[in-house]
Amino acid sequence: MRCNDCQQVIEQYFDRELSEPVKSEVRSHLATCLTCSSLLRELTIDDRIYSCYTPEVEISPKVWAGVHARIAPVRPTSRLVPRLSAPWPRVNVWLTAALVILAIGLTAVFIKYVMSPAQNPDTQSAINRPAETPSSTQEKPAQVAKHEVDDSSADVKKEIKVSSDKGERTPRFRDKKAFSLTAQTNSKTRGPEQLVHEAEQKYLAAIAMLSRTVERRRSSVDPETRAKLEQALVSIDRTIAGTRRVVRQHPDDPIAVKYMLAAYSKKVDVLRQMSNY
Amino acid sequence: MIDRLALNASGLESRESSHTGGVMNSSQELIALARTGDHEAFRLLFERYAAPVMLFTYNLVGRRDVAEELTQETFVRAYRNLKKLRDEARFSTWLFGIGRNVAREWLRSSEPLNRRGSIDAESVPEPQHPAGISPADQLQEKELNAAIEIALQSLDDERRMVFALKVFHQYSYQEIVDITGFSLGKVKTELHRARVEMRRRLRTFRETK
Repeated sequence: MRCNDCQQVIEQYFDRELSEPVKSEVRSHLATCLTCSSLLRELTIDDRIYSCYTPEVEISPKVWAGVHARIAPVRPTSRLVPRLSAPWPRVNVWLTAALVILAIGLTAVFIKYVMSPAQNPDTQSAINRPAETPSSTQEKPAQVAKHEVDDSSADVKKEIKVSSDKGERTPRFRDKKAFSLTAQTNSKTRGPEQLVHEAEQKYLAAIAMLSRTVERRRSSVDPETRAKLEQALVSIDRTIAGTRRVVRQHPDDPIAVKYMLAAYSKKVDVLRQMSNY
Repeated sequence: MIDRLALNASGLESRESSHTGGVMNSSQELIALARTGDHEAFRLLFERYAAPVMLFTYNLVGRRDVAEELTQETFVRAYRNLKKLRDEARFSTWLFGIGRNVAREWLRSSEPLNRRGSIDAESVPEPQHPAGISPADQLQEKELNAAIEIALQSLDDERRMVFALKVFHQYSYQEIVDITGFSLGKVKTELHRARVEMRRRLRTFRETK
């Protein structure tokens, strides 16, 4: 074997990658060639240096914790509910709060304007009932919405009256701004989870009220329609239970909150429909 | 000492470890169990292979924090694609192949300045040394660690990958071909060029050896 040939394969010889016949040829050549032997020695010195490289690369427990969290199966709670876990990024909690406030507002508008008082005297009487204290967990959504609007309007009117009595100009714009700022401050002082809880309580109150109405009118609904509506209610209840579970596990997930409130809203729709028969 | 660092693929495959209940399981048995959704079996696989995978990704990206994330991502992908593994005996090379893809994606997507964090004396890990080594030797070892890391990170990405797989992980040429997807000729060429470059950069330490 010549030096050129040996030098071409010397690294493979060092790496033990040569076949037996070629290895033995190289070995024979190295026994008589100082140049090629020195190349092999260089590789050996390199190897000794690299063997001193001892990085202490420790695996922290959080690595497995992260792997385990991501490979754990996520069971969907209902086929009506899409997967709400890992793919969704964490969204600002204030976005959650904004969605909750929007949902409450829409529901309040729906109950106030779509649920006509003439059709449902029970709802009307509930609305006209005196305002309950804010700490009560049995507040009705429509009543609370009306109550808040009435209160704020009363506050504005009071302010106008006082300033008029004092001969001041009616501070219309300033009061409206103050009111809106107050409203914003009120919502800001309550956290998103509290808002979600309050929204949920309001829905539950509306559902309880409508359920009583539906129960009283049960006999006036034909059995087939009643069966269909009750079936829908069972499905919605399942969705509510599932979305509630997801919200409890991921209170910061605005999509989960939205679906839960939408499920509640749907139940209110169905009960309203049943109460109109 | 390099044998301690390097985890020979075939050696690791045949090594057995304890399982819950005292039952010994080979990697192939654990893989078969993990395929059925057995998280405990997969955790044992993780315990066996996490350190070499982390070292590999650390060799490639030069940052410990990133290496941890990439290691995590590697194992998550491995778990999700276990069914695609045809030959359980080649789990190690398959796993390193995933690690290589994960690291490559990160290298491509990250800014050059973020890729190799400043390797200063504080960031280089303290080398392991047996009791009785003099402070002077300890200092030299720390300097050597730093020099090797700096030299390694100065290599081209593909060259660094081949070098790390051969020198630090003791994979054969064919296994490196399987992991990287390079041709055998490219593996040999890149390895040779990496050795020449590393030798040049570590000239000072070579003289003391």
